[in-house]
Formats: sequence, C-alpha cells, structure tokens
Amino acid sequence: MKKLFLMCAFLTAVLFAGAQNEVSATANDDGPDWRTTMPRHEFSLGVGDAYWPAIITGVNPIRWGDPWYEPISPADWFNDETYHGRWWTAGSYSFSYLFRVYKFLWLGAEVSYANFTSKVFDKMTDLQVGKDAVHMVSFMSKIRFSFMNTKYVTLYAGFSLGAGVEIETYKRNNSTEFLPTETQWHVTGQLTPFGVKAGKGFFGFAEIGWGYKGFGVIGFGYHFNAKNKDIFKQ
Amino acid sequence: MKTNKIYLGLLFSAMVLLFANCTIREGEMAGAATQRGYEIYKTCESNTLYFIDNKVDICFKLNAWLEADSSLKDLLEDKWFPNYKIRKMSDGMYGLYAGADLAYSIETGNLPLSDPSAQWILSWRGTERDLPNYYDRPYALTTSFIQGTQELHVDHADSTNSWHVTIAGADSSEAFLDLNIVALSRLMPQSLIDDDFTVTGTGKYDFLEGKIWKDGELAGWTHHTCLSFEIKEPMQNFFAYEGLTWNGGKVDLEASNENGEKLLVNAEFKGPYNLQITYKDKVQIWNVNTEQVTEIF
Repeated sequence: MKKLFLMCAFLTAVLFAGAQNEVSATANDDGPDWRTTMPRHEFSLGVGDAYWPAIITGVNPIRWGDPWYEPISPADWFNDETYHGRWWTAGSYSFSYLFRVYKFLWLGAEVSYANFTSKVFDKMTDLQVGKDAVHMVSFMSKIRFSFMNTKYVTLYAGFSLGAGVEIETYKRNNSTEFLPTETQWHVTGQLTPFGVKAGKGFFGFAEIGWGYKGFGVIGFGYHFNAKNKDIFKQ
Repeated sequence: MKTNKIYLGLLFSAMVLLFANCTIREGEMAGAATQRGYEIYKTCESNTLYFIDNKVDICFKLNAWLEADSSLKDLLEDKWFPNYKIRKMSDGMYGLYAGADLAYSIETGNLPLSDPSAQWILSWRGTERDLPNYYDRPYALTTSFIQGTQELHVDHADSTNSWHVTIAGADSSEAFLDLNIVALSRLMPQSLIDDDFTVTGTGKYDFLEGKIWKDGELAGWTHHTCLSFEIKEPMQNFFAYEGLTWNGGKVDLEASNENGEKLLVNAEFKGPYNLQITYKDKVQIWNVNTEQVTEIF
C-alpha cells in the first residue's frame, strides 16, 4: 500500500513537473496566450454509483445497530399489507457544461439523475401487486480548479451546489385508486477532491468524490475551442 | 482518433454496465402474516393496562391511604402520589391536587372499596397528557378518554376480591370500558399493579388522528378508527421487562374505520409467553417476550 502511494506521488510529481516546464517554456518564449492553446468549453456525460441519492431519498437509509421496531398508527391498520422487493438502480447519470474562465478556473452547471425501482409484493400471497419508483433530479452550479494542465492530461478538483427534486411514484396492479405522486426538494451537491481527464477533443474522465453524482464517476466529453480549432490537431 | 473514440465508448459502456442494474438495497422480509393482528392486540393490551395502571389504581391506592394508620399516611402519599397532595373536599369526597389544580376528585360514599356496597367515582378533566405513551409504541394511544370530564365507576362486584369498572367516553364518543377486575393474591390489594389480577369484560376505544383546525379551533379529525374487544377468558397480568403486559387469557378484537372496513383478530395464550394470533385465516404463535413468531400453522 505504501509502495503504491509512493508510486502515485512520484508519478503525480513527474506529471506536475512536466506541466510546469511546458507552461514556463510557453511564458518565457512569449508564446501564444493559454486561451488559444487550451480548450475553453467542455461538455461531458458521466455515470456514477447512486449510493448517496439512495441514502438521502430514504431508499437505503443509514441505520445504526439493529433495525428498530416501528409500530404503526391505528389509521394505517387498513393499509395494504405489502413489502418491497430489492431496490434496483441504473446508476447516477450527469451531464455538465464548463467554461474555462482562467487557465485553472472553470465555471459551469450540471444536471444529474438517479432512479430507483422496487417491486411491491402482497404479504399474504407473496404475489407482486405493484411497483414503486423514486427519481432524483439535481440541478447544480459547478466550479472546478484544474491544478495540472498538460496537453493531454488535466488533474482537477471542484464542487457543485444546487437544488434537486425527489419524485416518488406508486403503481398498483388492478387498482383504479389514484395513487398520488410525492415530491420533495433537497439541497444537492457534489464534492470532487480529485478528478482526472485525458484526451484532446474527445476525452475521458474519472472522479472520486461525494454527492449526488456518486462516490465514483466516470465518463467522456468533448472540448470546444472558439479561438483556435487547430489545437486539437497538434 | 477514431480508435480513441471507440475505446472511450467501450469504457463508458463498461461503466454503465457496472453501475447500472445493481441492487442498492436488499428486499424486505415478508414479515409475519399475522403482524397486523398482533399490532391490534398489543394496542388493546397497552391501552387497557395503561388505563388500569393510571386511573383505576388511583382508587385502590387512595383506599389503602384512607385505611392506613395516620402515622403511615404521609409515607403512602409520597410513595403513590408523588406529584399530588390528597385533600378532603367534603364528606366522603377527596381530591388529588397538583399544586393548586384539582387533578382528580374521588367520591367514596364514605365506604372503603372492600365494602360490598362500595361505589366509588373517579372524575378528572381529560387532557392529552393522559394518553399512554407505552414504551416503544407511541401510536398505541386512545383518544377516547381525553375530552371533557371523565367519570370512572369502581363498584364492588359480587365476590369479595373483584370490582366492576366502567367508563363511558364523554362528548358523544363511542368509547367505553366495562371490566371486571379480580385480585388474585389478596382480598383487598393496596395497589392493583403490585398484585396479580385478571381482567374480563368488554370495551371500545376510539382513535382520532389528524387534527383539523378551523378558525383556531379543533373542527374534526382526518381518521377515526375504533377497536372493540371482548375478553373470552380472563386476561392475566404479567410484569415484563418493558412493563405491565398480559400473559394469559383469550380476547376477540374487531378494528373498524370510518370507511366501514373491518379487521377481526383472535388472540389466545397457549402457554406462558406463547400467544396464538388468528388474523385473516392465518394462525401463528408469537412469543410476547421476543415479539417473534415461533410457530406457524
């Protein structure tokens, strides 16, 4: 583990040194401004695990110790006697746009979406009687600091903050009864202490973090550069 | 360039497959088929025993206080009524005061509860503070007896060690209790809950939930659930770790709501701690200590 950590530190140092050399060389030579050599617009699509949205929406709440006994109110005695099967998720998907304000600073916005579904079974017969779903959509503004900027590789950190809506839907078989959809608003966010992206025009990225996009996020994106399209051909 | 895009596409697809369609939470256990029936039984049990413990027993404790030597009266008052002071209001009439407020008044007719002709009346102004909060069952509340002035009648029944207890819900409530309590260890217990006793009889609880306010006043309730019970075989009290429970007897229960729906439950003890619950044609034995199903028929 220690060797691995040292190797990562060494590689990061080498990459960082390389980046500094390139930047200083450009500056000393009075080369072109970074705006013309580095992409300024970025779109990306990512997919991550959905553990945090599952915790926040109550699909998979954190519970300490043994499950507690939850008595029900007499008014609920006449509710359906059902139980949920396993909760499934297709992950947390995010789409973001970033604009490079300075060489190291990016500002933008992103939308993330996660959904969870579970079959509902009758307690007496064990037959499926319905399906419940929880959708979580987050709208967040985003800031990114790219602390290493090379031609192919960028290392960065950042965070997002915004609002999200949780939508719960209920469906029951053979039921004409209207089952209302429930909505609830949340403050949403994503902290990304470390991210790496590699590529020129098209690029791939990977992030570790904490929030509505996931603890781990991976995806791809595309850079746009309004001033110098030739940078991707170099 | 084209190869890179293909690699990126393959990588992304692999990640989607990795994250997608995974289980975020394992399915719930179906639970006991008679769980709802057990809940209904426990609600009846906790409410009835709360009522005996917190209301009926006031009469027995006051009776013991009246019959005690004057040298012991202060001791008994502190032991059994730590939050109240006993005051004689008039001939045969006593009051339990919390500070300057009259919490309970007890009409004894100048006869001790052990007298065959005894007819005591315990009166109080019902408040929500009277609701039982029975350890981990905060919903096991009856709102039947919290409105208006309540009158509990404790009459000596035919046999020397039994008492007839009745109360009717005030303010047009359908709730009532009509119970016979038999002391098993002594002819005249000083306090019921310190003794072994059985309960028979019938009763009905009203559960009013979800207050509707109009112009700052209570205009109604969103839910109205009733729970009727009829004890078929005497229910025997038992002191469990969690408090007073039943551990013997047989009772039929019927829950109904404002929509005319009904649930029928039969609860019968088949031995110490073993309670057989019959609910929706399912029969299961519950261990009342562990609250787990031990046997399924």
